[in-house]
Amino acid sequence: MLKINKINVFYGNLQVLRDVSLNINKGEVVAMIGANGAGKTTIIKTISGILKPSSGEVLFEGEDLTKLKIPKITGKGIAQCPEGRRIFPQLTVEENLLMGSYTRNGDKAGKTKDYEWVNSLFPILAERRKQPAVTLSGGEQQMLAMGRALMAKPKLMLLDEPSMGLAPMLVKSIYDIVKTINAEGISVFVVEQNAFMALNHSDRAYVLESGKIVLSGTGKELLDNSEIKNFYLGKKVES
Amino acid sequence: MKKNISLAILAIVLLVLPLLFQSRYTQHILNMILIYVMLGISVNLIFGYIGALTLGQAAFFGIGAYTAAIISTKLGLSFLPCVLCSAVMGCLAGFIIGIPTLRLKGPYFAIATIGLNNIICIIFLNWEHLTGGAVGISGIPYASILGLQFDTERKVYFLLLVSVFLIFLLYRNMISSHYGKVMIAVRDNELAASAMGIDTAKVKVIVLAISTTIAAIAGAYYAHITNYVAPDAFPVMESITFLIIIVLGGAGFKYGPIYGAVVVVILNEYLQYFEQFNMLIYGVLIMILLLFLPSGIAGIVEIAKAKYYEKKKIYYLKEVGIDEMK
Repeated sequence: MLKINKINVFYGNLQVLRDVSLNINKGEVVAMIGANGAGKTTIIKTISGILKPSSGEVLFEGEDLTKLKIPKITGKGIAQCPEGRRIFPQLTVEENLLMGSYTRNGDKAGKTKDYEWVNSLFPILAERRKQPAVTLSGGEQQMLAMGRALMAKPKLMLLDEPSMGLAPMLVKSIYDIVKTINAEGISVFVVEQNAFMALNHSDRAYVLESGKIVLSGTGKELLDNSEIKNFYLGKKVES
Repeated sequence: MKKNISLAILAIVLLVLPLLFQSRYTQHILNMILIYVMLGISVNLIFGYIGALTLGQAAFFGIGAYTAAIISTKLGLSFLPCVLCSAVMGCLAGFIIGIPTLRLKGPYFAIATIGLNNIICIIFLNWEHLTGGAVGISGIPYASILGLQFDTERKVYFLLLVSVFLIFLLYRNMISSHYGKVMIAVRDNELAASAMGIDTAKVKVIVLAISTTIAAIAGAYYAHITNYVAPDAFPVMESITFLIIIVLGGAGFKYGPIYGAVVVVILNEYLQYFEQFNMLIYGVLIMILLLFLPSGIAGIVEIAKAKYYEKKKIYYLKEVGIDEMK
């Protein structure tokens, strides 16, 4: 579904991604783990068109996204839930959600159906419907950002650090929702520092180190990998 | 019901207001307030709701005024066609200026608009056979609609009142519509807005064109009321005054332009008594107001409303953006 082919991305002179290739198949949850500064967010930004790679291609259902502008990419069915949530603070929860369905002009029935679905996924959002988003807690804002992304009726959802700054209880419920979303047939690409959560809830995963993919495999394989245990899960393994 | 009564009272006050004052001078101040409300609306759309800091709105005000002046004196067209031509010119100018400059972020857009304002002033000054150069254009006829001449301040007041009311209605509908929410989304987080699939550049240019159209309409009224336009009426300083209206009144608040226009026009007039100290006092006053009221007069009104509803135990969370509420 999404295929990234050897992309190289620079910030000015600084190369952040080196020949990164990965693919996400339909219906999968794919995770990418890595330390701070490894380039995880850069990958998300490249897929969503905020950054343009200097070489390589990002193919979504066979179409090269690197030539498209940001709003067009959203229209193709890729919704993103950016790091730090990036909700619209002055708009109400309801207005934020409706903003997510901006590209679906005319599909009023579908919008209403998805609006109800999102509200059933996140009951707290229905409760806070008329509140400005700035008054929500961190966890609620994360839910709002996810709900807003779902309102675009995406085929692929990009999640950037959904667990950032959240209490463990909330992190668990966020990942439960990822599972529910995936069951609806939406592919999910999640980028995480919280390796344990991400690996446990993904079909496949990649490990990114200093802009290079160093390991990949199923979530289970990586969880059992001794290096991963040492570096990302904080468990000492005698070898 | 309660709302209807207060609206009716407001309407009556606005209608009898000019009859209470006999002096032409006070009536002139009332008219200036109405013109500044239009300009405030124009700046609020682009600065308050899109977040693009404009320091060149006087250029569009001037374009509107000069268009009306030239068309009425050289072609002899009557008032309404003049306003229409000014609006079209303002709209075109907005598109032409907006497409290249709105790609600039933050202060760069502000700097570009200062440059634009100066360029427009230089054109007014030097394109002599069209604009009359430094002397300007005089002899612009009074506004007249269907044979009705608006030749006294009091008559002009009613003409302006109706026009401001219509523009305000359009503006209010625009900002409370879905498009208004899109504007706020673009202002608050442009990147996230474009990730929603919103073509942010397009939204900005359209709003700028609407805003410059309103400024140009205000210019056409101005030309027909003062019967005279000259290049020194549209300097960058004037653009800054428009901005002050919005900052004082409350940027991004629906009623901001109204509060701001009333305060700024009255302040400007009364500070004339202090002669050379007036700009000094004006500056200090604005600094104090900005320090203590970052969200302007509309901000205080919202806080007061929130406190009132809180007292009455009514769940009130509609308006935000006020630091004190967070």
